[in-house]
Order: sequence, then structure tokens, then C-alpha cells
Amino acid sequence: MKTRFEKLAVLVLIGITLHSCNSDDDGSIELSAPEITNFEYGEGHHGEEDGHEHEPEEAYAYKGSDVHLEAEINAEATVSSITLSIHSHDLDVAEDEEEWDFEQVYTDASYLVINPTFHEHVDIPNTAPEGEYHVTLTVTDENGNSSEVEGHLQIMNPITTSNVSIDEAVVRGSDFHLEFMIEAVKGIHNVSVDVHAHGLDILEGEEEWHFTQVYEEGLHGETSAEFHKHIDVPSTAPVGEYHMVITIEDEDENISKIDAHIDIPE
Amino acid sequence: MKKIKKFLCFIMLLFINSCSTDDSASKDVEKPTISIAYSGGFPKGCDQLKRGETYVFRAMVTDNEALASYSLNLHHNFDHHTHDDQVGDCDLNESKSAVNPWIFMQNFSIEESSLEHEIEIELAIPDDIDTGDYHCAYSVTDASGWQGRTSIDIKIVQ
Repeated sequence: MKTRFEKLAVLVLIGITLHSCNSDDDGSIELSAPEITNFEYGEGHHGEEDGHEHEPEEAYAYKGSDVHLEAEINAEATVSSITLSIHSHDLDVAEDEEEWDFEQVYTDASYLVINPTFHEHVDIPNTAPEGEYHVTLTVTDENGNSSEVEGHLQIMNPITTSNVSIDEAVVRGSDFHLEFMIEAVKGIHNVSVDVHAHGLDILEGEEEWHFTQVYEEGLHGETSAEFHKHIDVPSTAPVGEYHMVITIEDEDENISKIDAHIDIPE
Repeated sequence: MKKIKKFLCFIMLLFINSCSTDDSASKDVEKPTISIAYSGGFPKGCDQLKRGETYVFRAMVTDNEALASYSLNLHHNFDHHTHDDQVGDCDLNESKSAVNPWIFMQNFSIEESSLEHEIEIELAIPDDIDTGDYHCAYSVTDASGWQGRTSIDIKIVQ
């Protein structure tokens, strides 16, 4: 009887001991997933908690420049990697553009801590299509838990034109009119106009006409300007349809083009 | 009965012993600190550094348990961004686009897991980089993985 009681006591006590320590072990493994706060990127974007009274603007960045991203991270189990993705869905890709899909995994030593601040500048190629992009930031910890934050980023052309008004036809020997507004955040470098035709018949008394001119006056260095010109067409220009390319270049070598046609009737 | 008492004592000891190890493993919740606020600390907020010159970057780092590593990062601030724990509120130049900005980033480990260490990094500033506003960012990490950071506004001049 004695021995049985002893054995029982030992078993019960060992059971309690193991049990109590077992639960402690569990508790130390259960570290919560990483927290990401104050995720900011681009310009015009405000965090939700900054108490601004106005509606937050949509974040934007210009192609050909860089977008700045920042987030505060708290990962009890220590960060093992940070993944940034900037991608678009179904944006129209123009002829001289290239789809831009950015993804990078950051494992710099200074990020692999409990409380890093993510801070990166990502270059946006000047061939990236304009439009809305999705930004996602994923933080994974040493235990394999991960958290994600996401948002939208508007990628814009640093040069925009509006109110474009260009004559569609011009009688040779007179002039035609072209006019538009330019907004260029980096400042206008110059505007060039090129008017040319392909394979037109050149009759007697006519001479091939190819017009090129670079304009700087009143434009250079301006961030907002009106372009208004009258271009003389010589009376010897062959009849036909001409192609016009207007190229606006800013101080950062970004380019915006306007394509137009102008007809010279008989 | 005596035997049972002995057993009970023995088991109690086991119990206390087994759990005491857990208790002593208290969690480190303190971040390491970093300071340039002493006579040798360099650079100070708003300091102007010359291209082509060599400087010794100095900061004091401390921790409550054990220091593990630190890093120095210099990058341009032509876009006027900010960091937490900014040192210096200087007059910034106009925002501009970077052409050939200087970026320096290096990690160093602290071997002896000490509680205090003075960072000393000798660095030559290249003479072909963009001048203007820069951030000098120190970070320090302790053995538990906590990081302390400080960012100093500086200017690199001709």
C-alpha cells in the first residue's frame, strides 16, 4: 500500500511539474506576427493616424524619378525579410513604354532586427506606363509569420499637356496655328516642333518642306507655360498630308510628345 | 511516511528548479542607445563636410545586456525626407534631383558583446559626388535583436 501511494505521489507531482513547465514553453514560442505602422510612400500621401483634417490625397510619384517608401515595423520574433512589390494591372503600354513590375526582397542586416524602420528609394524608369499601381510591403519574421500592408500609387508623367489646339489644314504660303498648355514639375527644358512628309510628289516649282525648330524662349525653366506659335508654310511646299511631332523635354530629360497631322491642300 | 516526505521534498525541489530556469530568462525589452552628444561625437547636426576630405565618424553606443552590431549609412536628402530621431533642424537647400549622389552603407559587428562601445569609422568623402543635404544615419543592434537609430542632418559642400 505504501509503495503504491509513493508511486502515485511521484507520478502526480511529476505530472504537475511537466505540465506547468510545458505551458511556459508554449507561451514563449507564441510571438505575435510583425506589425507594420505608418506606411508612407510617394508624395501627397498621409498616414491614417496623422490627424490631418483634409481627405488624404492619393499618393503619387513621377516616372523617371524615384519614389520614397517608409514604414515602421515591430516584429517580436525578429524580421527575417521584407518584400516590396510595386505592380500594375492592365495598364495600357504605349509604343515607347515598357511594363514596370518591381519586386525586391530586402535582407540587409540593419532590417533583420525587432524594430526596424523600412526606408527605401525606388527608381521609376521613365519608360513605365502612367497609371495606378499597387504597392505591397510584406514583412516575414524568424518564425515564418508574415504581415502585409498595401496601398495605391499613381505614377504620373512629369510633363503634361492640355487644351491642345492645332490647325488641321493650312494653305501653302500662309501660316498655321498651334497652341497648348504645358505643366512640367521639373521645369521645361525646351519644345521642339518637327513637320515632315513621306513620299509626296514634288511637282515643278515645288521644293521638299521639312520644318524643324527648337523653342526655348519664355519656356526654359518654367513649370507652367502656354505654347502658342504660328508656323509659316512656304508657297513651294508640296501638297499632301504632313506628320507633326511636338516634343517637350524637361530639365530631367523626361520627354512628352504630341503627334498630329496637318494637311496642305491644292 | 518519512519516505513520502522525502519524496515530496525531492519533487518540490525538482518543481522549483525546473521552473526557475524559465523565470530567470526574462525578456530583454530595452533598445540599445546611440549618442553623438559628447565632445567626440561626429558629425553633429547641421555640420558641413567638405568633398575630398577624410573624417572620423564617432558615436557612443550602449545596451543593458549585450551589443551585437552597428551600421553607418549616408544618403542624400535632396527630397527632404525625414527619419525618426532626427538630430538637427537645419536650413535645407532647395529640393533637387540627384545626379551622382553619395551612398555609403556598411555593417560592423561588435565582438566582445560589451555594454558600451565607441564607434569610430574613418571615411573619405569622394570628390565627384553631388553636394547638398545628406543624412548620416547610425544604427545599433543588441544581441536580442532590438535596434536603436539616429539620423543626423548634414551638408556636403564643395
